[in-house]
Amino acid sequence: MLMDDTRPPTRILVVEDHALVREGTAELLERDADLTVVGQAASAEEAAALVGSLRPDVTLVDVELPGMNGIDFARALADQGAETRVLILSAYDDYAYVIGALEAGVTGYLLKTASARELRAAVRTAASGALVLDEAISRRLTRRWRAGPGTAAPALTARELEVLRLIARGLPNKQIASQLGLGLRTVESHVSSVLGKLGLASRTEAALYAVSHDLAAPGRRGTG
Amino acid sequence: MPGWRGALRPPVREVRFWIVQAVVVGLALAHLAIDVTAEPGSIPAGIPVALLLGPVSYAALRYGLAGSVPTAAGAVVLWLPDLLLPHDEGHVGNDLIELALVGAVAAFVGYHIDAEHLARSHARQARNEQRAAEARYRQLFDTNAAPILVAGQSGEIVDANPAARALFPGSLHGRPAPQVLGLPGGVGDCAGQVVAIATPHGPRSYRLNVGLVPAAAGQEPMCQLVLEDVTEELAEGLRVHRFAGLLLRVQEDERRRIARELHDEPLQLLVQLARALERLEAMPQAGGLADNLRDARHQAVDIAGRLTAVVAGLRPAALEQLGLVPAIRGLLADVAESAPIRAELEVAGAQARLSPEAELAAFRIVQEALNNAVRHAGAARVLLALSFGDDGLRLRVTDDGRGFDPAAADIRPRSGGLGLAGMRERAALVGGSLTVDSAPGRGTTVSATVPAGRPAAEPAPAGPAGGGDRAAPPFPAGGHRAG
Repeated sequence: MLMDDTRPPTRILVVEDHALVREGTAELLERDADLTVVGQAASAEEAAALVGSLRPDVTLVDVELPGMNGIDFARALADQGAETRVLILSAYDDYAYVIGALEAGVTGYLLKTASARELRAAVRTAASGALVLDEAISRRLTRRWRAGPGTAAPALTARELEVLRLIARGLPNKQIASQLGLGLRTVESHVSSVLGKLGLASRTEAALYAVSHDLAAPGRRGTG
Repeated sequence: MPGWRGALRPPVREVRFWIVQAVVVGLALAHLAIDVTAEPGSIPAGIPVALLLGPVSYAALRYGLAGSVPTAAGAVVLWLPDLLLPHDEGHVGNDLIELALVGAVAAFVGYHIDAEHLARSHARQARNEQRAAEARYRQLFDTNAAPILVAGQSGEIVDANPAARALFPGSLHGRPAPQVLGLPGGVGDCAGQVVAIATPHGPRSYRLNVGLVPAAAGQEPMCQLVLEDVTEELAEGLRVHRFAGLLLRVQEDERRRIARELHDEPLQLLVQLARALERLEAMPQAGGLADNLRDARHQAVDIAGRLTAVVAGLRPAALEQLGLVPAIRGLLADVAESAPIRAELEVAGAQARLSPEAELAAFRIVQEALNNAVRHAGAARVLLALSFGDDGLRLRVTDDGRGFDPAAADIRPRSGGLGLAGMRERAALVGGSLTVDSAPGRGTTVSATVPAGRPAAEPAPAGPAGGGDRAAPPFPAGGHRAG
C-alpha cells in the first residue's frame, strides 16, 4: 500500500496499554498508504527498546501507562536525542498534562476522541516537526487566554510574529537566529518581548498560544 | 454583735449566780437596817451603794449581760424600800445616782464581756474549720490517685503525695519540680504541658495542672502541680486521628479505583465506539444514515468527554504522574478558565517530590483554598506561593476576596468541599499544620506546612528502561528534534 507513493511512508510506533485501543489506533493509521505502524508496545519500558530498533518517525504515546508515564518517557527520549517525534494521545485534556508534555519536548498532544482524520493529519504534521494540538484543547486554551485569533497579534511586530512561529515549531533561539539571519541577542530580546506582550510564562506557553491562535506556521496545523 | 436579749436569760442553774444574788440581798438588807436604825440628821455611815459594783461586776465578768443585768435589776428592786423611807433629800439623790452608775457598769461590762466571748468563739470556730479543711485537703492529697507535687514559688518541691512519691523514686524534697518532670523553665511554664513518664506499668502521659495553694499567714503561697493521667485520652485522640486518616485514605483509594475502572473500560470502549461509528460513516453503504452516524459519533465523543471530566474530578491524575507543581499549575489554569480571576503561582526553593500522602494533602488544601476564593470569597486575584525546603513544603494561598471572621465561621464543608476543618485535618494527618487568616473585607490567607514524609519511589528520571538496561540506551545520538 505504500508502493504508489514516491516518498517512503511515515513509520509509527504505538505505545498504549489498552490493547483494544492500541489495535484500533494501529488499524486506523494503517488505512492511509503514507502511514505505516512499525510496532506496538504496551508500556514505556517495552517501547524504549523498540524506538532504537524500529526507528519510528512518530511515536504515539498514551500519558497513563503502567510503570513510567508517557510524559516521562517523552522526556527521556528527548534527553537521549532519539530521532522520533513524540505525539501524545491521551484521554485527558488536563492543562498540567498538556504543558508537562510540551515541556518534556513532545511534538503534539491529541485527545483519544479525535476523529480518524484528525489523528492521521496530526501524525503527518508531527512527522514534519511542527507542533500539533488537539482542536478541543486548542479551543480551551483560546478561551483561557480570552483573545480571539489574531486579536493579540497586532501588538506583535512582524519580526516577533515570525519568532513566535518558530518557537511554536520547537526551534531553540540559536536556530531561530540562523533561520532569520539575526543575532542570538536580538532573538532573545524578541522572545522576551513576545512573552511580555502576550503575558505568557514560558516558551511552551508561547508555543501553545501560537498554535491555538492559528499563529503557527500557516498550513502546518494538524487538524484537517 | 452580742445580743441584749441574753440579758433576759439569767444563768439560773449556776450556784455562783445565786451566791452573787445573795450578796446583793445581804448588802440591801444591811443598808436598809442601818438606814432605819440611824438617827435622823446624822451623817449616814453604813453601807454605800457603790458596794453593789462588786457583785454586779463579778456577774458581768462571769456571765456577761445575762449575769450583770438581772443582778443590777435585782439590786435596784431591793433598794426600793430604802428609797421610800423618810430620808433626807440628799441621801435619796445620791443613792439614785449610784444605782444608775451600778446599772451602767452592769450594761457596759456585760456587753463587752459578751462581745469578747463572741469574738473568741468565732475565732475558735474559724480555727476548727481551718483544721478540718486542712485535714480534708491532706486526706485528698494523700489518697489522691493523681500524683501531686507541692512546690515553692522558686520551684523546689516541699511536699509530694504518695502517688507522686511512687512515680518518682528517690527523695523529691528540695529538688526543682520542672527538673523532676524533665521540663525546661520554671513552675509556671509547666502548666498544661504533657510529659511522658516511665512507670512500672509502662510509659504514661501526664498533663500538668498548676494551681496556687494559699499558704498559712506570713508564708508565700505554694504551687500545686497535679499530674493528670491523659494516656487513655491521648490514645483515644490518636485512634480518632488515625481513623480519620484511614477514612480519608480509604476515600482516596476508592476514588482512584473508580477512576481507574472508568478509565480502563467505559472510556476506552467509548473511544472505540466513536472510531467504529466514524468508520461506518465513511462507508458507501451508509448512504442517508451518514448524518445520523456522525451525530451518534459526536454523542459518543461527548459522553467520553464527560466521563473524562468525572475521572479527572475523582483523582488528581497529574499529581500522581507529574508531581505537585505541575498539578497545581493545572489547577490554577482550570480556575482561571472557569472564573474571572487572576491566579498566580510562585515557587521558591528546589522542587522535590514529597510522599504521595503529603502531595495529596497539599494538593487538596490548595484545591479547597482556590475553590473558596472563587466560589465564596468572590476574589479577583489569588496568589499561590509554594516554598520547598529541607523539611518539606510551605504553602500560602492569598486572595483579595471578601474575607470572613475565622472565629465565627462555620468550618464544616460546604457544597462537597473539604471545609476549613477538612483542610486542617488533611494537614494534621501528614504531620503538618494549617492556619487561616482572614477578616471581613480583608481577604483570606491560608497557610500550611506539609512535611516531606517518605518520598515515593523515584520515577526513573533519566532512562526509559525502568529497571532494565539503562546502561545501554537503544537510542542513536543526534539533534533531530531541534530541526
